[in-house]
Amino acid sequence: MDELNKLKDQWKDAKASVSKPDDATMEEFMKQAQKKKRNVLYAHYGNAAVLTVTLLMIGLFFYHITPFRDLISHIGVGLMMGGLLIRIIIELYSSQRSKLIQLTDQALTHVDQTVSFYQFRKKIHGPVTILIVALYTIGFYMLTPEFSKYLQLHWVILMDLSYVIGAIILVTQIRKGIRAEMKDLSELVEMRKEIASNDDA
Amino acid sequence: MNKSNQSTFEFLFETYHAMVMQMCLGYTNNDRDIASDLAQEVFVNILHALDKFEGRSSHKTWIYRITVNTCLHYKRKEKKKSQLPIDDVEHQLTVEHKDQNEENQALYNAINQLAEFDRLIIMMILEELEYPEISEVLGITEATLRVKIHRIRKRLKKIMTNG
Repeated sequence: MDELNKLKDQWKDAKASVSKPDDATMEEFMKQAQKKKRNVLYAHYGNAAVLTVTLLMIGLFFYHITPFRDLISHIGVGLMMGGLLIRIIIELYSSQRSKLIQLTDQALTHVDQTVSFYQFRKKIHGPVTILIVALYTIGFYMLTPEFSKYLQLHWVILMDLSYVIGAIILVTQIRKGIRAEMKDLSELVEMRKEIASNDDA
Repeated sequence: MNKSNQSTFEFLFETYHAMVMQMCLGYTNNDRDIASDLAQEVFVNILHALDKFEGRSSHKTWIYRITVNTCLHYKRKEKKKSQLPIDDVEHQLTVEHKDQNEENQALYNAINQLAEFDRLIIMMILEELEYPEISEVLGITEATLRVKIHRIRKRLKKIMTNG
């Protein structure tokens, strides 16, 4: 076929213009490879690390700075920290799941594994995230009665309102992330269909 | 990394750099910056997967598998980073590069008018990979591959006839 042969010739010519790597390229490459390896590690465990630090800070704050006395406050702290702990466990599990996606697999298997990972993320984003945000919110407002014993009313109101603003920002960010991932999922599902189909459309 | 892996990697880098780079150029519509970044990502993945190479396929097929998967993965990753679809970036840069290399650009423009997955298939055809090898890289049967190639050829003919 003429078109294909023409393209093959052009392809060969274009390939000749790709410069050969020299020793400096290799050296620079090895440096970049180490950097990318670190970035992959941060991407895998970054979220879990940030959440763990947050959990520890909350724990220390409630234990040393504002040691609560009421049972309802203890339950509140438990719910807040429990919610975070569930999220950390899910993040770590999610990191492990993502490692199942192997770039050395055949493209179809690779896309299948990626789809399966995104479907798992879809489950997390749904009821689990709602549960975690709900636990955290309920826990936070359970602290209000004890706070109101030591703080003036307007500070308590300010604290409760600022949580609402923070929650709105957080939920908006989560929704944005979910939408992007779900778009990826639908694209991947389409691609999977495209790869496996043999319709002569 | 042990010495044996390092020398294997250096061999693979030297032998297949042009092949990978050209595939990345084709995938990114001749955008050298994005293609270099993508090719680097491919070789980082090769470096990290070197211990997993079992020799059941040739190095070439194995590298093609990693290249194809990295390309498919990269687009989504970059889209998240820049919030700008790579296809849009490709389009903007196509205009910038047009004067530099008209001949190559015509080739890459033709390739880029194909669907994402078809682009990867045609580049392996242009690289003169055998059908069983391409089937092995993609994980589809040879019969399915033949149907796809037939469809791609028809599409290419249309693209090249219409200029």
